Amino acid sequence: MLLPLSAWVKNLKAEDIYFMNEIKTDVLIIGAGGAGLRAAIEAHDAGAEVLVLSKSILGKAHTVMAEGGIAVALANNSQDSWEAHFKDTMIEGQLINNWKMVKLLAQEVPERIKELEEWGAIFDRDENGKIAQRAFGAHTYKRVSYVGDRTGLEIIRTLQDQVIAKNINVVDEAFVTKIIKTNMVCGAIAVDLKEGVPFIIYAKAIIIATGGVGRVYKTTSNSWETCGDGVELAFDIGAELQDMEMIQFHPTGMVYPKSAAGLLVTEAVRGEGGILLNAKGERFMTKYDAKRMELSARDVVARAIYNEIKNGNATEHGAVWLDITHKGSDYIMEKLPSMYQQYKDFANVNITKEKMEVAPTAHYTMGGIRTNENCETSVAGLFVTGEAAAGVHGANRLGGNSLADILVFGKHAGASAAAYAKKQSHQKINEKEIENEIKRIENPLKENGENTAKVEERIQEIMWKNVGIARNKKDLQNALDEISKIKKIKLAVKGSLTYNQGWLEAMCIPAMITICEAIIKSALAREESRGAHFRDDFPKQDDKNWLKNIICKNMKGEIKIEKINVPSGYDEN
Amino acid sequence: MMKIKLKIKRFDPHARGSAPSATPSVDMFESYEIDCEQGMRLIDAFEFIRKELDGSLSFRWNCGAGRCGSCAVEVNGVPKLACKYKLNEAEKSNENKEITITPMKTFPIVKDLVVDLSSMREGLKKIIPFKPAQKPFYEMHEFDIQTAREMKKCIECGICLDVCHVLREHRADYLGPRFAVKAASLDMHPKDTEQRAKIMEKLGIGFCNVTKCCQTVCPENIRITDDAIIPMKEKITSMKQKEYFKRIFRFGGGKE
Repeated sequence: MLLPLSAWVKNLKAEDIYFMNEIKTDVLIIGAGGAGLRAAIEAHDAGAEVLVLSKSILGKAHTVMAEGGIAVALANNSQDSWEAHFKDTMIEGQLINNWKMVKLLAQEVPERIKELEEWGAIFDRDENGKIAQRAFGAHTYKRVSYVGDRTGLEIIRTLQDQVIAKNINVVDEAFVTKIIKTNMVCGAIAVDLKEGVPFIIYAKAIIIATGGVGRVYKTTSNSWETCGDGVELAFDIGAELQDMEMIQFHPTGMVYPKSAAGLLVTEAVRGEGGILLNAKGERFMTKYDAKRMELSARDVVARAIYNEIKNGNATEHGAVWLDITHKGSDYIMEKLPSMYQQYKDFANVNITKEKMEVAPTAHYTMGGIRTNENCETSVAGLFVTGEAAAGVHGANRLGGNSLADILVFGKHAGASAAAYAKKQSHQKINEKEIENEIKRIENPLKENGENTAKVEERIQEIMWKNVGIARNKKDLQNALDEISKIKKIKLAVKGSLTYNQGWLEAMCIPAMITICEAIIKSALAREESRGAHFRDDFPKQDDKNWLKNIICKNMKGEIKIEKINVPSGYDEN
Repeated sequence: MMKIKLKIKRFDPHARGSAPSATPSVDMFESYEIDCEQGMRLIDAFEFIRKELDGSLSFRWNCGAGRCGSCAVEVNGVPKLACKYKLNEAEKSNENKEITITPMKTFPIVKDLVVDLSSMREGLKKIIPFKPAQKPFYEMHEFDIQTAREMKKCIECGICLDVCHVLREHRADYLGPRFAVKAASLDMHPKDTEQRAKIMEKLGIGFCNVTKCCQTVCPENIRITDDAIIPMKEKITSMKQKEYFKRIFRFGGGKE
């Protein structure tokens, strides 16, 4: 159990490791977004002792940014079924998803929604008093349930209430620097950011629920937290990564002013009837997908906007227009209040009267840690859920499927980890390993080197320029060379471990570098275009040779690429 | 381009005592002059200072879009979300182009502008959770869920707690407006069966003298006083009236 904070040792040196605070728990969950919290609730209910560690405060995780809604085949106002949801997800994932996971997703979301309402969530209603459902890109039916445009907030608040009511241990503002394993996981080392001291967690099972890697790109809708450190933690101890080349660029992010660039403009704007226009005023989606228009799949719309901008049809700030003014002020204020507020606050634009300027922004990581329908990884005792995991979304994620993903697989991860922990006992952690890690933690505070913020910006610039929406061999190779130069840079940080953003950057940059290499190498390996991955030197999709997943394996610190066939048996379903 | 001066309060727990530290001493202000770009927000200024001028400045932020409520600080004594506060607002209202930034006063300081918000989570533990009579799927109508939904907009930024003069000046035994909002969001849920008036009275809602300070500053524009606190006070009053009449009735009837 937790010791009182006053018992913790200040200004810890490597020689003092024996005084470090230790916490023992059955299941350690890294990350307190929707997936982490759902996993915590499940593991707790299965009788395991649970500890949740979170880089930010409980309830502030990136889930709050999910706006538009959650895809769920409730069929409240349509002929929808889980089979249709399954099929849509597989087809837009370009068939490299793990179909077993997709099947679970489509089948179980309705249950999860029901459960949320049992816990006090209130979804928006239709005229019959049932949960309302709106249209979203590439969903066959009106399938996306929502709470205005702050669905994520409602979901995380509901889960957070459960975690508080069940008295589940949460240590927030704690940053995990390393997972320790022998032939199975034994625990982790973390730093309490408020106190500025490291501590050790002994755990029988660990769940990674740390989200995606969007922050390796310059223009992104992700917050500073989402830099891929959790995915790297798993890779570091030998877990395999999958589909890392599949980064979703959301078609509509804010562009101007500079400070708001990348902020998400929810797909609900298009779902509610918003249209895209280029600088000449043409509704250009007619050229790219005349049937589905603005509500085509995200990769199609993102590439269309990218093309318009590249072909000189861009607005003053290098963007296109998104227009919903024709829907009238009342409708917009009712359906998209947060979006109205966001444009008013950040850009001084009144979306009921003026058009919005939008351009693609790095948004979601379809790839991640390789896993299966039980959320297991290739490391015994290590589980993964949410955006950090690969498999559900394939080559392109449908809007509304990520909130579905965190609830369904959050539950599965919690159940699997609790069941695994029941059979295990706590392992000893090698003292030498702790000492080395403490040295690594303190290193940036002692060294002379470069400004971490500048180095991070360089990485983001390289990735945005070379590994963005359209890729080719030359650019990718170039990016790989540039990244390997950055690898050699020494980083220096002033101050202590207490709430030090620079130190966090110094710890995250090596992780970002590994993630970038995995993305670039996977993108180089996939010599075709599929979903979010577009190669202008291989513009065609090649189903004959490329119904494959690309796996990154950790060979003593080097990334080794392997291609494997997608899980078999989809055709029979 | 306009220049603007930010006077920021600094505090470093590790600088206490004799050990010399890279960061300035215990509790002081430091000024930074920065170029105010078009549309620049306070959070951008903080990031600029951290990246270009002083890497040791600590502040808390996450989404940068006004949705997570992590970045509240006091600007000239008034709590604001740093991600929503535009620096040119300060320019207009301020002749010497200087603004003072301090951490939220109601909470203990961790470092510089970062405060300890754990009391917000501890407070939530005291409020009775949602308890429905039946199982979902519920039939609910837009009209019935409006108030609960308004209360559920809360992003837990702590600004209402910071501005509340009961907490700020008197540190009275009052849990604060955020928790009245939470209680109202549950009480106003059409399927909830609990009553939270008794617990709210215990948690000191009586100390609130309805000056509506919290309501004025709420970044989500929740009508905290009008829709959460006053109805709760009314419930407490009617609850007490009922108890009073019950007592009188008992005296009259002579039975327990």
